[in-house]
Amino acid sequence: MEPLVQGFAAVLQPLNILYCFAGVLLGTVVGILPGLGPLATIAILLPITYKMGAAAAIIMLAGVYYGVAYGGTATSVLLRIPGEASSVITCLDGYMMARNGRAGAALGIAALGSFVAGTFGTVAISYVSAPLAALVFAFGPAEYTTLMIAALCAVTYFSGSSLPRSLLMAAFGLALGCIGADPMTMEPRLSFGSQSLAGGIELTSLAVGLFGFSELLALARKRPEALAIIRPPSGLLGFLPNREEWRRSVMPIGRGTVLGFLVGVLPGGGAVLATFLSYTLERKLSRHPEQFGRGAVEGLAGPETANNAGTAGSFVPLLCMGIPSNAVTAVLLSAFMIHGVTPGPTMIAKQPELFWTIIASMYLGNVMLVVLNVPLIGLLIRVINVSRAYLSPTILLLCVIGVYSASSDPVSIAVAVAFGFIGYFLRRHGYDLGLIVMGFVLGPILERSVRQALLISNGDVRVFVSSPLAIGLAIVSALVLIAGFWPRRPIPRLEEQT
Amino acid sequence: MRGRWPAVPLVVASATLLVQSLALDTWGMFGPGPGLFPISVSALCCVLSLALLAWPRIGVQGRESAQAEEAAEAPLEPAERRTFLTCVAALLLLAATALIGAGLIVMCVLTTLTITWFGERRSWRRALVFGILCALAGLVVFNRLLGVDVPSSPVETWLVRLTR
Repeated sequence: MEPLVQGFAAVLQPLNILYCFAGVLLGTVVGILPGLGPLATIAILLPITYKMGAAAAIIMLAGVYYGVAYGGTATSVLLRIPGEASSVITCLDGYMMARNGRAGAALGIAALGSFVAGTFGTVAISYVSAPLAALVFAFGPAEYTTLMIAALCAVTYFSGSSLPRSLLMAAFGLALGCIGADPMTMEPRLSFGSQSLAGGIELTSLAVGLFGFSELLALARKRPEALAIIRPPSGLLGFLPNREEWRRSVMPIGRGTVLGFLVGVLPGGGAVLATFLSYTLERKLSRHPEQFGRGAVEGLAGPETANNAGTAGSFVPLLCMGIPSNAVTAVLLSAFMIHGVTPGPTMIAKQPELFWTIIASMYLGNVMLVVLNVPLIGLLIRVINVSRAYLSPTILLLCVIGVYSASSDPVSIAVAVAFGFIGYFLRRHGYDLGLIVMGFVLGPILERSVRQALLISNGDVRVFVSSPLAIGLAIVSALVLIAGFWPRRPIPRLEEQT
Repeated sequence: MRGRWPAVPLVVASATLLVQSLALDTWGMFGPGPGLFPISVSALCCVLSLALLAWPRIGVQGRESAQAEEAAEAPLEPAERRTFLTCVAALLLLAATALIGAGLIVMCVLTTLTITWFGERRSWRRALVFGILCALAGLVVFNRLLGVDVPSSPVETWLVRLTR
């Protein structure tokens, strides 16, 4: 308990509170823009933290993460544009609530659910992270390799597209991560003789191109009347959920919190799976399943809470094992590394003050989210009503600044544009772009583990099945791959919803 | 062939990556070489993309996905086609201006004029003013206040100096 108190002492300094507030505000404002989900938003806002200290930067990014998650909910509810896969379910009943004149109520329930889920998740992280970190010391390079392969297999299994397509995207991400100088010999790899590629591809160019620019192209295909449909509520009471809506939300929020956190801890499952499971559960338990898809409060409250609880849960593998469980935490991992922080068991042992500061900043971020966003709901609804004619150039400006600031190289903007077209082509044909980013971030870590393991074993590949842990993880990977070929219900994608 | 053609560029990309990787050593004096991992993953890319080319049905998950695939190939209405093409043009313009070293103001003004005036048929004066305001806001908020690098030409440098 004492380290957590010290973490709070660090976080509650006026400057850090200001950073947290700024992070939540920026995250919410940028996150509500259609096309900029958490992944692209964090990538864009990451450079803002370059000149800060590690603790301040991470406090601000935690605020950005919570703010973005809530901002993404706003676009899903108001425009039916999910910022990311985990917001897809919110589009179903949240958007219908907005069309029924309950946009403010939907956003209010989402804010409260997010607060409850985030707070529960942070408390749970405080208690489970230390035991998990102790377990992680059992992992050598071979176990790490099999663990990461298992995580990649799990993510591909739970993605929205078929297993071969998902695996292909993850493999492309791994290959893109190899571009640039070899970390051991410094030999240029896959650079096609280009000096610009010799240093590798910037993560920001990849993420902003695949998500930001490709979303601009996707938005351009939509009819204007399909975007501008929400009339802002006129008074404060219009924003608040009524008693009946609160009553119907309580149990889904409770169930979504527990379910979301448990599923979020699993590498690969994360928030996306949690929202789909929660929606299925709530529809199964509801007395009015026929209302689902037509504006059922439970259909919003459960998945939206599960989404945030899953987000908190996904911090467990990141903080305790240094393994991102989804594309967003992969970007956060890179943010940690930029600031010289390597999440994992060594962080808890060597930098306990920083670890507990991060935990405390999550509490603060959750409180800020509610304090800031509930009064801002009315304003958010007005901002979202901006015409596409002015929204697209604004998104473009943010993307350009985000990409350029990461490398100070104009070529990176051209690279991002190229990835924008590639991303647009891939998403139009049903490929999951998040897996490319996931593979891109995990690639160098996976390669290092593979090479270390082979070096230790003098090239004997049996090292990867030499311990019970490695064997277990290899079996899990194989089972997930086999299960992936089994016919299953498809997870709806944006193009299928609209 | 209709369901197969999206896999063609992926096969080409995978094959290119594999050819590049094969030039690297798989084993060196320090153990596993720089080519081991790239060859493995690009070979996996090749196998999967060839499988999707040969058997497109394995890439389609259920009836809904098949319908989405058909929707992706559906032709655009003239108005949406215009908006879409101007957005494509704006992105190409952005890449071109970045490569010639133009600053944020030129990038913003050109892309805003393309999207807002030409694509969305708003007044060119409004588009121009909005583009300039966007660029100035980017310069002041991100560069001046937050210290973030933005694409700069002598004009941007001069403007930022003015605010100091």
